[in-house]
Amino acid sequence: MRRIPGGDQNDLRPAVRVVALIGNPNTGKSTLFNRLTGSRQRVGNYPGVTVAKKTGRLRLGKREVTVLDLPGVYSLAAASPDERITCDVLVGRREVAPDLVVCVVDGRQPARGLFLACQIGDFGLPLVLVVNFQDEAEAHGIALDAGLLSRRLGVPVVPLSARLGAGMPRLRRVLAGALRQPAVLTLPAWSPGVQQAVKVLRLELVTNIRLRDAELRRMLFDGDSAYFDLVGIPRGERMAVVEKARSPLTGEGHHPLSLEALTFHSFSSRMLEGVLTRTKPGRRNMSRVMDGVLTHRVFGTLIFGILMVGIFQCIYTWSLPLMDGMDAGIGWLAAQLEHGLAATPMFRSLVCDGILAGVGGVVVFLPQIFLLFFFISLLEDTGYLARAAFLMDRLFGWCGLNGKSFLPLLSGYACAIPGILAARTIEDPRARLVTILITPLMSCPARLPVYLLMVGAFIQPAWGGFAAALVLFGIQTVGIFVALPLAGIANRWILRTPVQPFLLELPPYRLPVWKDVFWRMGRGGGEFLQRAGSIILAISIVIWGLLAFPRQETPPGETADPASQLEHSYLGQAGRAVAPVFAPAGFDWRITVGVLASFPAREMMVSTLGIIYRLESDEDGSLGRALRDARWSGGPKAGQPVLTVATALAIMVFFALCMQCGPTLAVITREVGGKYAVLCFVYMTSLAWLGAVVVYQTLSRLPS
Amino acid sequence: MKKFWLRELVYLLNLLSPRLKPRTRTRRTPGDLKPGEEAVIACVHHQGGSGQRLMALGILPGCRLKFLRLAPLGDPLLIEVAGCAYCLRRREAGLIELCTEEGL
Repeated sequence: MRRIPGGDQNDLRPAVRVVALIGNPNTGKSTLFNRLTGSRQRVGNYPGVTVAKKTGRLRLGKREVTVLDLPGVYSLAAASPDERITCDVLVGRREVAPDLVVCVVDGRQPARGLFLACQIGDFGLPLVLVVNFQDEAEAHGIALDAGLLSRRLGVPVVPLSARLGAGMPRLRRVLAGALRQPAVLTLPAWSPGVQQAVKVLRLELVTNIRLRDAELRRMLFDGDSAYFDLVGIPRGERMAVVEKARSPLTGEGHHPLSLEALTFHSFSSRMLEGVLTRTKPGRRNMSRVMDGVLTHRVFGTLIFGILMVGIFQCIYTWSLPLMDGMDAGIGWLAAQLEHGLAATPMFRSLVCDGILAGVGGVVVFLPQIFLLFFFISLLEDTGYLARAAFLMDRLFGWCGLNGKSFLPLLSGYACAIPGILAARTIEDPRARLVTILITPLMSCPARLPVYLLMVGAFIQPAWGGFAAALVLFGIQTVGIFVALPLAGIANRWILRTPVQPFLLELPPYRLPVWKDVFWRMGRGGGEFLQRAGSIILAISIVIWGLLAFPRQETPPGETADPASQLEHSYLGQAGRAVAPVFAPAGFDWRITVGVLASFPAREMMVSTLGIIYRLESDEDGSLGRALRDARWSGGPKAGQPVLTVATALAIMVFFALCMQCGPTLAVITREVGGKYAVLCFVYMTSLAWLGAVVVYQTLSRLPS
Repeated sequence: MKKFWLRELVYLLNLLSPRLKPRTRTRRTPGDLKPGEEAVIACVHHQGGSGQRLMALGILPGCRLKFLRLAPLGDPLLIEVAGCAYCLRRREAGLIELCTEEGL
């Protein structure tokens, strides 16, 4: 079996072979995937990052092999549909069954990984065991005799370090060899009781789905197996069937739920005996020392708070010079185009007032988006996120959720869509639904341009730079402080969700892999630019059209009064019609137009205001100044500034709470159904209106 | 109606302090240890899939368990088993029964 082939790969069969990567969460599986395939995907130091299955291509000699990256699991026990996907892929129920399974094991905790390898062996799948983190294991003084372990298990064992790339050429050779000569992990035979129970269960199940013995064992060993959904036995009859099948097990004196864990763990500790040796006394565990401070009752909470405020302070201040530069660049471009296109006034207006003002206004915020993604991936890769979940879990407990909702909600800060997808890891359907419904309340970067515009134009001049950062941080947290009590009410009184279990491994602290951090940063920024290039460009043109038409008749030689042109445009009329709805929040018709335009995508607020104020005034100034200078043109407040600190805060609260994202609604529809998308839209929009009115009415009544 | 409000009041009080709940269990669980104290696991009980999940992680009878600390808000707990740190809520920790005496 240990025959490692030389250079020739000719006896690989011509069909494209499939290799599946599996392993415990946080064993560097995704890093290994990237090393093998060269393709890039999200990698993080937080258990449960990989939710959707990912594929890549690996070249072994002259052949290409497909590599599947499966979600990180501790066990194949399938209580949620998401957990069963792993089993379904392994037995080939979803697509072609993998020709080879690569089980990634943490070199410092090989016993736990072997448990999973045993379960794969039970399925009868060819296996290669990869022992990752060899560099860290050696630093801890743990030596592994890979040859001995391989002889005992009957499958190839490859120690490597995916992070450093050590051992990769050897893994490629072993993979090529294992595809030619598959080897299955040999397990001792199951006790007569288990064999009897499998036979009974097979007789009891009336189904035309061919289930393997190992899958029947999953139904026996797991408390509430997702296999019943596959077989289609109604909920009421499940217990009777399983109890009948389990009677031979209980007859042998085993608890059916403990049997598998006890069997496999005793097997793997027998296998590891003499394989693992301590070469030197273990170093002091630095992760525990750091945890002593970072999870401390007082210091830990303090550091968490400082870190969060600090991150938003950095995002705000570091990006200012870059933003000014980009602003100046776009201004220069606008001036050039204005000059060059002077001959065709209509086209000039479309390009300068529509496209440049709309897209440019959003693109300016690219530096912030980069910084936000930089910090999120930094927190994730270093392992701090799991500590944050530990510190904050109680808050989730109060509202009937658990730390598993933390990842969807935190992802929501990058974008609600991956957050909603990440909610698939939550077993309880009701807890999952609640998490999906509150995820869009998390402050995504699309809201940032609106906040930054308002903070820069009103808060900073009025209260100073530090207050600006605080307000920015505060508005980013408004969403979560609204979301948690809402989730609590929904869980407690509407859905009556059972109390959620919470069990999370705290991964050791690690230095981030800078390449991965910068890659994620680049991808986050790229997606933002893509949006600016597609959706926002399209909507900008539409909005420009709605604002520029119908044209007012003007005598030749005179130019139309831009203000009255705006007021009589299609969108201006619509804004005026809807304005009374938003009047209690202090919005004038221009802001109302912005709000209406931003329902498909919330960045449109900035674009629309950019278009409106550029069309209205001929001078070139920053949008912030234009907003400050805006005055009521008529009515009881004529001459007073339209936008004050109170209005700015009301706008920010409105945007923090409002559901203004078409793609998110589409994803909610796909995940849980259209009626919940409608529910989400209605509750968030009414909440946003209420929040804005409360903020404006309270603040405008305060003596200034 | 009166019963409903009474129940909700008890629920809210329990939310604020998990330790207000009358202790009906007699088993010794990780929550009973002092920070830094170690004990041997006697048994892992099952409730839904939680017990099975604990066992899949290698939290098994016979293993040494070290209670590291409590989260600032009183829940969850941080424990260490076989060199790995886990964070779990009191409810799940209650499934882990510890031996009453060292080395048992």
